[in-house]
Amino acid sequence: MSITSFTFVLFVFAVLTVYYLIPRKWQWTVLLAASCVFYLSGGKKSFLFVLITATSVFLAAMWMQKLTDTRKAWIKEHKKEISKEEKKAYKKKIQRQRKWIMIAALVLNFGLLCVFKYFHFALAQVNAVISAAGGTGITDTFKLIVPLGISFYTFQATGYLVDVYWENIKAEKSYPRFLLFVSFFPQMTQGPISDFEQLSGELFAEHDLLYDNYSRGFQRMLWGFMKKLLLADLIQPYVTDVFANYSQYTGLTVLLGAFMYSVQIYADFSGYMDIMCGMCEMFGIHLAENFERPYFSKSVAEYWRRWHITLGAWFKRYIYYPAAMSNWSRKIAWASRDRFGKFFSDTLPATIALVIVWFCTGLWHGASWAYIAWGLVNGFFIILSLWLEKLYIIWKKALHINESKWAWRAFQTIRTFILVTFIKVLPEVGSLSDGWGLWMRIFTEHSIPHGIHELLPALAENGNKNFCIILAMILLQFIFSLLQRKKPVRDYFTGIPVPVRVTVMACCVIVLIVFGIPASATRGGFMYAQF
Amino acid sequence: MHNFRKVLLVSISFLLLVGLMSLAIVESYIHSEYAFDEDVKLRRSLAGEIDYIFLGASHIQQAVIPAQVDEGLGVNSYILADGWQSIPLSRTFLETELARNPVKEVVLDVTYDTMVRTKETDSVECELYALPRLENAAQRLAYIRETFKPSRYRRVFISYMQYGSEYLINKALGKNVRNVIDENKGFKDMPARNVRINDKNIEKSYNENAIDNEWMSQNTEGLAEIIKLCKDRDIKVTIVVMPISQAKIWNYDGWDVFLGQLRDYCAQNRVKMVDFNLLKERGVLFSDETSFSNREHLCTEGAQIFTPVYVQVMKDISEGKDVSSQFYTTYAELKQHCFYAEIVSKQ
Repeated sequence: MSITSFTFVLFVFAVLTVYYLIPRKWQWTVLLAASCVFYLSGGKKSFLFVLITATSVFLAAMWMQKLTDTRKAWIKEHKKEISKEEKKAYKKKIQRQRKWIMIAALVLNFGLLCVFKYFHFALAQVNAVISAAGGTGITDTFKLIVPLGISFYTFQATGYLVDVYWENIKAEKSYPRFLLFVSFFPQMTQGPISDFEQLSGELFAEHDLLYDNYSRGFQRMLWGFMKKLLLADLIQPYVTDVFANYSQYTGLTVLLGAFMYSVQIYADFSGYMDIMCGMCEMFGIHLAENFERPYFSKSVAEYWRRWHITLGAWFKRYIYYPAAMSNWSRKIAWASRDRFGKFFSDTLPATIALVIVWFCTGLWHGASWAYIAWGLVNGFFIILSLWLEKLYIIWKKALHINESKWAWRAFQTIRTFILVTFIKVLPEVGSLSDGWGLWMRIFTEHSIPHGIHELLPALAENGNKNFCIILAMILLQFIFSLLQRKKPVRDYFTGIPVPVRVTVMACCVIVLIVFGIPASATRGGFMYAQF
Repeated sequence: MHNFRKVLLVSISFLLLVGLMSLAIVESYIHSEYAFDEDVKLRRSLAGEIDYIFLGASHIQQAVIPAQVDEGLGVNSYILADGWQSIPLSRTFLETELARNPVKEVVLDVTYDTMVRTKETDSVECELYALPRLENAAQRLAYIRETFKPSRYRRVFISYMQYGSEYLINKALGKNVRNVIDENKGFKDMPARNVRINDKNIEKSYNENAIDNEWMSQNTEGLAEIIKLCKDRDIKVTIVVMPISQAKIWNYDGWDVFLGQLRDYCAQNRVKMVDFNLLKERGVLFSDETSFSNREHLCTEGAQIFTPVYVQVMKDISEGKDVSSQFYTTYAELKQHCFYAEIVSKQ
């Protein structure tokens, strides 16, 4: 079921009606049924993998919880009889069992993810090695279709598993409830990757149909559709054409194409988030936010704290901190302290953890060297700023830079936007060499495009109409982002009388029908669904 | 505490508003003459004058030029045809025009696909073109009820919204929004396209495909109704087959089955029939390189060549002359003398 189809909108309103008509305590069952229908509409096989993940993680978490409870009960029961050492030994024994359960569940789930996502890539690398050694490669006859949303729900489910292992949360006792947590349809295919505590509180609470939630949710959904259909989908042919034929275009055209790609991917992904978060708001459910005006960031690190926030938070919580605070990481830091000094040994664990995180981030986004390089380049800039932090402070002092001045902030914002754009396009052109070729084209081809057709190919061919809509949407998006600094745009909108509001929204729907839906019919799905 | 009432009230108001705005856009387009096919106003303005009607679909719409027919036959003709016009739809259009015009002759184009089409197999263009050309809301509603395939509602609605908004924007910008050309009287100008089969593929493409010859009962019945409608009013009916490219004929098999069926049908209904594909002179008159807009339709240059031929044949027939010597008797015979057969024999 395509998110941008009439069928999906009808589906949402049908679910919404049932959701608010049945007794509140059963509302979550409607969501579970809707999630199953939604996922099954995309293929039975894919749903099977959701069930495997949900069941394995549920059972593992329950088992771990049972061991935890047993341990607590045993310690409580034998408090007076046992020594500290005995208590410690018992705890260790139970913890070891819990650890193996967690590892088994993680291996199963990440194993599935790796097989589906990375098998072909891994085989290609093996073949490359065999060929280099003069042998004949293994024929890749498997045709593996990646189950819908596997990267997202695997991360969400394993995050829960680790939290149960760390005893941050108690394991969910109801399988249907847990299945809803893993398969909740608005977030299953592209996130946000929520943590159990936050999401379960929203999913299993009893919700009233509040006009404010309904109205604000609908507004956000509408804005999401506009971003996706009137901006991302209309820019797509232009970006695709420039990336596919970058060697034939002027450097300026390619540069503009790269910037347009940044706009496209933001409109596409945040558009999806707006649709889903808005829809959930109508159900009284507040999903975790994935964006916070990322293109207004002043550094690459800040950008990644504001772009795909929940993925970043997942990596931080489950990879970065464990890696940076691990025993081996600390040992390396201590070993280097004497030779390289305090700053080096303090920064080294974070650096090692960042390299691991960004390698994994690259790999998560796609099974190719281009994505791995993309991840590592992001990591490089973040690590560089970490190491040069002190130097920056000295420079700024020497150059009398006032960080609170808007001009300096604007410079930082523009610089960061350009930098993340250049990094972003690297894996999107195709291979790593194509990404490099595109960069080179921008820097080495300086001819001036002759007219709009050369500057904006494919876009200009479709006439002025699309061009005007794209410009209007970029402008609107920019204004909204500026307004959003103080409070959500919807708060401004709420101040407008209801009839005017309804008319504005009706006009937006008409614009969507006229310009957006025909464009989406020829485009395909959301960009982040492929990850 | 649920806010059902407020949510319902605002939702209904919102939906009504969207519905009204959509209706305004669609209606403005339907009543415009933004597409050259939307000739309702033109036909109304010609009421009482038309005495010769060409009925059919895109083949006849692109094949004859009414001005030349008028001059040659001394009639006032009009092409009551459009792309994908079905037989039931032709009947509706004809009824309207017969009621307000002194029609003496109806020329009905039956092409190879006319009798095999159903609403299930028809393209969405069938609805897209038809609705604005119908006379009034009652006819449109009847059409939607009887012929319109529900799975195409969405596509037609979105297309009309697009055309309508395009029309309104152009109108607001002061651009020309009337694309109907009065003088054409239903004729559709189309540029030429080279449809000739590549020499390398000629032999391979011979009878590579087959035309569908399973006539649908709703079409045979609809055609009979049209014939009856005319005969009841003493209107002369002629069934014609308009020329298609030699490439199409060469590439497909089953033409003689179609011809046999059509001949039988015409004999049963006592209607004269002329298949202009079988013209012996066609090789000299039309070329696949310059006379067609695609393999199935003549282009404007082709129509300019064909119309005088049509006029002469129809004149001869009305004068009681035997025209059979001007035509091959079968498609098999035509194929033997066809341009591609010559090339193959030389190869």
